Amino acid sequence: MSLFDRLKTSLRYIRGRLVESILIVAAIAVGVALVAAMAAFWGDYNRQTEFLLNDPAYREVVVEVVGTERDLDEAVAEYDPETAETVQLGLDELTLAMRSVSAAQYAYLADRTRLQAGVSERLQNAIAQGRFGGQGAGVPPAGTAGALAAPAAEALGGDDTNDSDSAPDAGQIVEAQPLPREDAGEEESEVERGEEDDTDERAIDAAEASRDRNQAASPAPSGGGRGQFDGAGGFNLEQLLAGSEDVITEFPVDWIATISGTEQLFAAYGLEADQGSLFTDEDVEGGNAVMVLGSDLAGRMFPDDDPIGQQGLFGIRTYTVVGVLRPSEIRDNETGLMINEMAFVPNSDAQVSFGGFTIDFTQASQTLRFAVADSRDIERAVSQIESFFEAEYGPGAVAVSARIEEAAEERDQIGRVLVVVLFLAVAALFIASINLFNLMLMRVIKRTKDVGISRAIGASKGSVFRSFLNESALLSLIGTLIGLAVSPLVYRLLASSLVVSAQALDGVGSTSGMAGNWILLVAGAAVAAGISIVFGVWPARQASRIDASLAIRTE
Amino acid sequence: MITLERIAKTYDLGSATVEALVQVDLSIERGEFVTVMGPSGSGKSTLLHILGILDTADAGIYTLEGHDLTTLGDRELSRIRNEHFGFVFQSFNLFNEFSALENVMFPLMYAGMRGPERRDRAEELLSSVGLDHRMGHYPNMLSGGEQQRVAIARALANDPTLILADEPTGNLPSEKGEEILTILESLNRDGVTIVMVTHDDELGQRGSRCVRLRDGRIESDTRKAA
Ligand SMILES: Nc1ncnc2c1ncn2[C@@H]1O[C@H](COP(=O)(O)OP(=O)(O)OP(=O)(O)O)[C@@H](O)[C@H]1O
Ligand SMILES: [Mg+2]
Repeated sequence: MSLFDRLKTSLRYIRGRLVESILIVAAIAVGVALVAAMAAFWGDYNRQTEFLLNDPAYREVVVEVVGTERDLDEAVAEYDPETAETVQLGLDELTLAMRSVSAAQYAYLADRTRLQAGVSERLQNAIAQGRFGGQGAGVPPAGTAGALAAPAAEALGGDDTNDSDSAPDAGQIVEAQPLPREDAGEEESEVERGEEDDTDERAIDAAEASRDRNQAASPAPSGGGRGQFDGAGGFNLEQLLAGSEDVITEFPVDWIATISGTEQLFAAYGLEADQGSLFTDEDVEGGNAVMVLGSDLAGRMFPDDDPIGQQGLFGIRTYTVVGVLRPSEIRDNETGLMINEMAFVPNSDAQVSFGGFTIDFTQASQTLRFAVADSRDIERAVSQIESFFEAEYGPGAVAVSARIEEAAEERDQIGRVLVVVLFLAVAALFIASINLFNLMLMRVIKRTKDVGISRAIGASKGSVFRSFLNESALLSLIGTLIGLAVSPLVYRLLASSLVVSAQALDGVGSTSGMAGNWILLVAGAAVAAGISIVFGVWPARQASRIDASLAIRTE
Repeated sequence: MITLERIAKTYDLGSATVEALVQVDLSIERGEFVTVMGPSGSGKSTLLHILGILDTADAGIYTLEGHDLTTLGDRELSRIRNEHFGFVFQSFNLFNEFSALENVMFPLMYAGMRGPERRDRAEELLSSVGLDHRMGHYPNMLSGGEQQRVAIARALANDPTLILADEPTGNLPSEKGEEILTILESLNRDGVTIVMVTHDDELGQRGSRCVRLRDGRIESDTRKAA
């Protein structure tokens, strides 16, 4: 009897009890889908979490002044506002701390900011309305911004309607706002919200600070109460914007997400220059306006030209692009953006001068960062850092945190859930297999007489065995195929419900994740099919042992 | 052709043992039409099953065409049943989930005959028993006589040399039983050996030889003068 004939015969018996067969197939499909999806998910999860340990964000220890940027919730209990107030974290502290923290290999600043790219519409409007009308503009306007600024200056030249009210407007040019620290996916709304509340105020503060300084630096301004600077070396926006003819003031993007950091940041995040070079601590100390671009961002901003050496207006400074990073898979875990989409500038608390004036960016970093080369060193690094700052500023003055600790907890939790779900999946398949077993045993009993007849007309015991095994294998095969077909769906369902808030599992649950685990998927399915076939062996054996003589006598 | 020597079959019922066959010696020649008679429980069916190797004796020797069957395994025995023997039962014993044609195709399938050939052969067999118009019918759509004719067609599928019929007319009205017997007689004329169990004295005289059983023993064995 050929396999084809046997399959055909099995199909006839399956069709003969259709509802029963459909139900058992469905049960097996559910079991297989769950086991296969879980196996794939499990592999995904393990791969992903392993990968996580190498993610730079999880090798980083963050030191912040309590109560500044982070929620006060995270403040240490013994936080004392009196002492905390005096803590200033910056490059000096970083250098100092590095000497006593041996466990961490890197120390750096890496503040997330946002830089206005080119001249914004808002600024253009402000210029058009003449709010920055500089008297005695020495340099003729050049480029787009110059052209735009010129008529405005002309129209409003000498008409000093502006007073100190212009300060907030000035503040808005300084688009060096810290990016909100938020998870990926929510960046859009968070950025907007951030813009509306505190960041604007901060920008205003910065602007006011700079205005004060400039006023102090310049001799008594003529025409009391004026907020702008005039005369030789006066604050002239046109001049500022004009720069040289080579300065680009229009970009295909409105703003760029920027990490304002120090040299070791690159090593800590494993970033390398693809073209040009990275900036150094000399650039940081010198307050050099240089910029390193992520690969995708570079391509977007300078699609046709070599980015290296390009000069552009970002915020209120003219930066020179000195390097483009090698493409990287890393996502910045604070902004959720791909590193490839970000720019890097030196974190200078140095004063910036242009047009004969200096503006002091009072954004001395309040956040110091340390990184270990091996994530296993992180606990040691945290305790060393904690004891250093405690010795320096007293207990509770700074908050030391490591993301990996939060991530590890989250990961453990999900791991436990996964074990339970995997267990349930296996249980579902087991129950389906037991049902198949029962069903086949029932069919053997019901078909005892048929077995007797087939033996009488020439079927061997082996043939009877194979026929029944064929039938159960066919049922479990159909169930397995259906289960496999729907397993990507189940996988996605599992992924979306298990990874809902787990940034730690970013990337798990994507279809590519499933595809990447096809080996596990196939293995899971094979085990599933194996189990259900094995459960068909016993009933088939029973069938082959039926006493033909007795069976044929039964009515 | 077939020789049974000191065949015994005992059923152990725990409390008691039933001696279904005791020291049966029987030899059947090619082309004979043997009827087996005897009271209920005398061992007729048991003898038929042993002859057809559906069952094995506890003791004794079964020789088929000079071969001792006790040395053969299940596969070989099954093949002998498939190719050389044909069974016909009182209660027809068709596969109820398969059509008349498919029922006839089963032994051909076990024999390894290929699909199209199988179908042709099965159709031919059904026509030979007068069922050209019932090929696609399922057993429950057929009359008893028709079912028994399907069973005979199935038994004849692989051109057997021996037909074993256990009260083939027992469930049929006499005129239908007559039809079946006519078929068997014509097969016998073509050289097929027939062993038929029957309760009917009249039918018992239709064969060339009548074996009577009582309590598992052969009571009498009479040959008609040809
Ligand atoms: N499987 C079995 N277990 C126990 N006893 C059995 C079994 N099969 C048959 N017997 C007994 O063996 C004896 C012979 O049975 P068998 O079926 O051969 O009789 P029979 O002559 O065919 O009777 P009937 O004319 O009623 O069909 C009977 O007493 C029967 O009860
Ligand atoms: Mg009987």
